[in-house]
Amino acid sequence: MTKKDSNEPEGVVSTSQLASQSASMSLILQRLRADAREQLESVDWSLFQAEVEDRVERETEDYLRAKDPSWNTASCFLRQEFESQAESIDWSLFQAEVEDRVERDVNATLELEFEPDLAAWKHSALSSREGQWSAFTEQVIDAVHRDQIKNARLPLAEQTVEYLREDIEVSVDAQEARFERDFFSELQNRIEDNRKTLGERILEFFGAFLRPVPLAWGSAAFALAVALFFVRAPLSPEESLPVVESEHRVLVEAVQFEGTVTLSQSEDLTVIWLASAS
Amino acid sequence: MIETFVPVVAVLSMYAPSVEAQPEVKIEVQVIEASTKLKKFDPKLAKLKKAFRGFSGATIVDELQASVSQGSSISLEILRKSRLLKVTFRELAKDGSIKLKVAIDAFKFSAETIHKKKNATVVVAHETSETSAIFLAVTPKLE
Repeated sequence: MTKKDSNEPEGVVSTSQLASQSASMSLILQRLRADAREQLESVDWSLFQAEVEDRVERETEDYLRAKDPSWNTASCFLRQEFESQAESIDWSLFQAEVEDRVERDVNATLELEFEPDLAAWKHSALSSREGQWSAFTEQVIDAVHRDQIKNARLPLAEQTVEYLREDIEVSVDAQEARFERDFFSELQNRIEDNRKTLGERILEFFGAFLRPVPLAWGSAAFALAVALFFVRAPLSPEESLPVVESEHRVLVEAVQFEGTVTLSQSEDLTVIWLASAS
Repeated sequence: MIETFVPVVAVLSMYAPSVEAQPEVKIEVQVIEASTKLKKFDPKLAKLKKAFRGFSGATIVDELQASVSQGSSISLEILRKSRLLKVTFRELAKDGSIKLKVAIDAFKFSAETIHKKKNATVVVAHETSETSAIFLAVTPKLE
C-alpha cells in the first residue's frame, strides 16, 4: 500500500503519505459522524426516559417501603383503587358532554354578540329579495287591518256616520270635477272680459251691427253704446260670482243637545245623530 | 137695542185686526227601529235606507200624520211611551221652504230645520243599545 521512497528506510510511511491518507480519511470520518448523529436522533428516547423514570419510582418505593411499610401499603391500595375506577369510567360520554357544553357556550356567545347584526342582515336580505313593493303592500295591508279593527270597535252610531261620510265624500268627488270646470271657465271668461281694452269692447259690440245698420242708426247706437259702456265700465272685482245653490234639501239651522251631535247630509237626506255624553 | 148694537159691531169689526188664514202643512213622523238583528228593511223605508248603514234591518214602530198650522205643534210618544217627540211648524217662507222645530225634551234636544224642497226629510237618530237605534223621520208636506 505504501510507496517506497529511495530516501526513506523501507517500512516507514512518509509524511506526505500520511497527509494524503489523513485527507482521504477526514471525508470518511465526516460521513460516519453524520450517520451516527442520524442514528442517535432517530432513537426514541422517550422509552428510555420512561424506563428511567419507572426505575427511579421503583427505587423510591422500595426505599420508602423499607422506611415505613404501613404508609406504603395504603398508598398502594389507593393507587389501585384509583386505577380501577379510572378504568371503569366511560370517558367517551364525559368527552361528548364537554364538547357539547363548549359548543353551547360558543353558540350563546356568538348569538349575544352578533344578534343585532344578524337581524339587520336578515331584514336587508328580505327587503332586497322581496323588493320595495312587498314592503309597501305590507304597510297598506297593515293600515287596512288597523282601520278594520278601529271600525269594528266603533259604536253603531259612529259606524253609521262613518259610512255616510264615505258616501258623501264619494258623491262630492264625483261632482267636484264638473263643478270646478264650470266654475273656473266662468271665472276665466270674466277675467278675459275685464282685460279687454276700450277699443276692443266697442269693436266687439258694433261688430255685429255696424254693417247692416244705416249710418244714422249706427251713430245713435254708437252714442248709446258709449253711454252704456261708461255706466257699466267700473266693473269691480267685487261683483258677485254666480251663486251655487245648495243641493241639500234640509238645512239644519240650530241644534241643542247635551252630548255629541253628528250631522250627516247628503243630497236627499239629513241625519242628526245623537250620542249621550254619559 | 138691536138697532144700536149692530152699527157698533160693524164699526168694531172695521177696526178689528184682520185675521189672515194661517198656512198649514201636513207633517209626517215615522218612528223607526233599526237593528243588526233584524233581517230586512220595511219597504216604506226605501227612501231613507242610506240612514241605516251598519244595520241589517229596520221596521216602522209608529207613524203619525197630522195637519199643523203655523206656530202649532204635534207630539208623539216614542220609546215605549217614555219620551215625547214634539214637532212645531214655525214658518212657511215665500219660496215654499218650511221651517220646523224638532224637540225631545227628555233628551234636552232641539233642532231647527229648514226644509227647502218638497217632502224633504230630516232624521234624528239615537242609539238605544249596542245593536239597535231609534230613528225619527220628520217630513213636512205642503197641502
